[in-house]
Amino acid sequence: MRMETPPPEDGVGDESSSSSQRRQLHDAISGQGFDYHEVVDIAQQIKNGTF
Amino acid sequence: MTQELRNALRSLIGQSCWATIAGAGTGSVVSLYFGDKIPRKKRLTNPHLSPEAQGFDGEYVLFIEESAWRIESSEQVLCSSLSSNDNEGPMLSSLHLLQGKRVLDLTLRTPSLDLAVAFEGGLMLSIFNFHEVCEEMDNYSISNRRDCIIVSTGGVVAESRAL
Repeated sequence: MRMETPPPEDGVGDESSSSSQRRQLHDAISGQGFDYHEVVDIAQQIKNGTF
Repeated sequence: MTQELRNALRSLIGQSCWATIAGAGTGSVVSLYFGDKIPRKKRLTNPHLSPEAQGFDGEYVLFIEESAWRIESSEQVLCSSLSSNDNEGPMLSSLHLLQGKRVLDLTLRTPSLDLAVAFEGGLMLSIFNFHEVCEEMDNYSISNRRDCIIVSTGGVVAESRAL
């Protein structure tokens, strides 16, 4: 019921992110089995609008 | 706000699901795309997405986050949120069955706001929300071009759709 990769702090997935941002992250990483740091990197790009 | 949710959900009726996104790394979280295909500002490079989902976002998107859910045919349970999300597993194969199918009807139960979506072909997607948890969490949301209506453990809220 939750993402397998823990939501990164200070990035998309934490409580400050919007549902749209979390969906954007989900759609970007789903199926790829990224590690935590890769998810954090994408999440931060989404958060700052560069993804 | 529940009326806004009803209105948003009602817009799904008659729409075909043209993409579903789920898989390893994202647990049981699922995106279902409906309606017009809206070109993305930047194409997604995720190779597990269909070319359409890589290039387009959905006019309407049902996004299931922190909920239990299940897909059934008229004869059997096909998968649930606890099913394997491997590429060849029951979760993705069942979600794939929804693609190309129109939404025939929706049932929003109160006060739980559990949702059942009836698709063509006798397929049913049922979403069961969590309640009475320590932290506030978003169960599912429905987005249109402008807004995102979110069903959370704290109630129904709206946010602008900022993609």
